[in-house]
Amino acid sequence: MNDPVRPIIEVKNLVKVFGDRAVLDGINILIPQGKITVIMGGSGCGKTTLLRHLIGLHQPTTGEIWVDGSNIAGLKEKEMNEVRRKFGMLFQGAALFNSMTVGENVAVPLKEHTTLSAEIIRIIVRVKLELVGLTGFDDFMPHQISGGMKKRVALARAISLDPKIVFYDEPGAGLDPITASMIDRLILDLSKKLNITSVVVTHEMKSAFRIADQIIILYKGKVLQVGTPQEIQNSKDSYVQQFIKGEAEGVIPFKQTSEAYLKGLLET
Amino acid sequence: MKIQVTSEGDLHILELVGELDYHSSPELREKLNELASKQASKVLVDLKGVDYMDSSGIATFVEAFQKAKRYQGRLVLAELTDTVRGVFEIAKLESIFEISPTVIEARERLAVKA
Repeated sequence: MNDPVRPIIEVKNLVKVFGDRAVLDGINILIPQGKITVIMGGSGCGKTTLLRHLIGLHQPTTGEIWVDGSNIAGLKEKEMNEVRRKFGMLFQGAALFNSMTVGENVAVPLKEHTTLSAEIIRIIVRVKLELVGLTGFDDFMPHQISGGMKKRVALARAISLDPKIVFYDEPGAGLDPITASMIDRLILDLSKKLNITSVVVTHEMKSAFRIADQIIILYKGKVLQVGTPQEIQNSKDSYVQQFIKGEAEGVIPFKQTSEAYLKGLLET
Repeated sequence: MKIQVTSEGDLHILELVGELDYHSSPELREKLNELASKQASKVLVDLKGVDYMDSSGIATFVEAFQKAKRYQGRLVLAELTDTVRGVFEIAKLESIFEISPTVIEARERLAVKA
């Protein structure tokens, strides 16, 4: 049995430079196995860029990204695909194939990555649909189900290959608050039942405090704070407080000063 | 994964050792299908050597169970490790299978009528 707090992902001194701007500026994080880690931050803080590095879509300028024992920084596509088999990914827009039934959508990774027979795949699809509360929806087309159900189908697909890690990109985006909270419950449920490591990128505070074992707050490409929801809640850091309270005024500048505006305008 | 099949009259015992995952489950399926095609009336699967099972493993057992049910055959699973039992529980399937804590108990169970 694995130690539940062993880090399954470790990021060391990750730097990503686009042009002359460091979007990620020396990130060091540990993501414990079997827990839910929420990565938060305002727009442009680097959270999406960090997620893309964790799933191997971006290569770092410098630094290391250890995922389940492999440093994925600099891995070739073929080797990266091997590591990716351990991942499931829930994309922001569900990304279902509209021409396929719900069941066929869930079966896609199984057909692509295994040699399992159609009968076995059909049974696995039914088990996964039950896990996300969609028993009986195998033959529905994506246009016949709601946005929340589409997300759940996408989640069933993300866990079809029994991944060790599931990444969620803004899981509640575009959903009403009740459906978003249902998705949160599902993330919690799958994490606890299947001992899946979950990495959730979101800017939704309520959701983060509902599901997280660990919260990482990014600001301007750096890790501002790491802690349990309780620790983040009680943080004395004025940036963190402004962020979690969602206040426009504070130490995080909502807009540039007029001097900076004029300087920028006159210099170009 | 190693699969050893032994037969004692109408009782067929499959002893599995290793990881039952989507690489190895097709081989188990083949063995179970052979037994189903012979309409084997009593099949005992000894799982004490299986330390990991994924969804393809459970799907293989579901299919074998469906087939056995069609000809009134019996499939008993014995000595599940905690990990394997957990997979059955997560899939909410532990109640549909005949599960025995020990191989001896599974043999006794199969010796009497269902």
